[in-house]
Amino acid sequence: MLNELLLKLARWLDSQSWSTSIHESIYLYSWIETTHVLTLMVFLGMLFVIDLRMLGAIFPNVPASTIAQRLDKPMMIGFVVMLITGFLLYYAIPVRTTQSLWFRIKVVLLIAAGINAFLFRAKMQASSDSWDLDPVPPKRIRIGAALSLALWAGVVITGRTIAYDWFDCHKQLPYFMYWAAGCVDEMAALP
Amino acid sequence: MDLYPFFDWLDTSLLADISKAYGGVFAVVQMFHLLGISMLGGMVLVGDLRLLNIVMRDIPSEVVIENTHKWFNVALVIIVISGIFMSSAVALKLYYNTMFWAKMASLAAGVVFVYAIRRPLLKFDHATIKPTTLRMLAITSILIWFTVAASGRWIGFS
Amino acid sequence: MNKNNLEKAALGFAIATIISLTWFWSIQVGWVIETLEMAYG
Repeated sequence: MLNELLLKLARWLDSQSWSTSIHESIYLYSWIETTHVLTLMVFLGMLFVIDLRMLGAIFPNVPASTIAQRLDKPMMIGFVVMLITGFLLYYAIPVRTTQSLWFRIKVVLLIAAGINAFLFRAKMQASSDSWDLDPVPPKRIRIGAALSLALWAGVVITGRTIAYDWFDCHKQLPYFMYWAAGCVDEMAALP
Repeated sequence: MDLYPFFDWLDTSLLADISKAYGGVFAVVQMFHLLGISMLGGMVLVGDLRLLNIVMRDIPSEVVIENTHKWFNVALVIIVISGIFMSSAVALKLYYNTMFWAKMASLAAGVVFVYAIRRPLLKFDHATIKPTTLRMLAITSILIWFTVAASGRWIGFS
Repeated sequence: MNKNNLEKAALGFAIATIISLTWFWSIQVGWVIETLEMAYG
């Protein structure tokens, strides 16, 4: 049911002339994609600095909360750019992407990374007084930071593999993959 | 100096056997390449934005620069190793790709800039360096690494 | 290298980089414009 609905939404997006314009453009799609990838340096770059601090691997002489607060804004700027360009990439190729196993895993990982970040922030605000100045934060903080990096690494690789057609719906796949990719129309992605 | 023999060798090396045959391995290596780029970008940006007085103004710029060195090195090593693996899949094609050479040139410039100029100069007390020089350093650094990354992405399109 | 020379080298490198990268990117943008003109006239 949900899959039918999602595919319907994708078909509706696909029928819009802007979607076709981006998809068939000579450069626009590549530029959006390049912006999406290059913004990794801003968003993930800042996240790396913050998470490495939480792992005790960088800036041992600067309070953890200072690093997190000072880099929050540039990180969020990067995140917003990634979100907008990411949506445009989806908008340009909605039908295939909707039935993409990788895209679905990516969305799940994104949600997981979001929840992790939210919990992490709450945990940090509640306890940072006791360890803020420690070069190496306590274990639960380090686990949260490692989890954050692992989840975002997952987002990066699943984002990359959306472009591969290994497990597209029209291929012969194990039933489980059909189910996970939400294949409703097996031929939808074919030209 | 013609590097063709190197690309010719790379094209038939063990690395190429793996990178051409296993798309999954290639994708994982590419993930490390992208993570390395992000890490390098983060270290460069944090340092440069500090030199431009945009972020972390309450932390001395010497401290910021000092701390980013190690992870910059780590990122560069990850990027180069994963990059060689990735290029083995299309070695001969790359040899004739202008963007690839533009990227290699800017990468070489970046490495020289970081290890021969930016680092040695920033070892001195930043207060004794002209503010204009510091700002020029930061702008140059951002420009070079942005060019390396952007031309790298563009290899795939050209 | 002493600090004065390093500072001079840094400025020289910066200027050379800014000039050559502006040149490089303007060529790229020129090509893009040319292609778009050919395609859409």
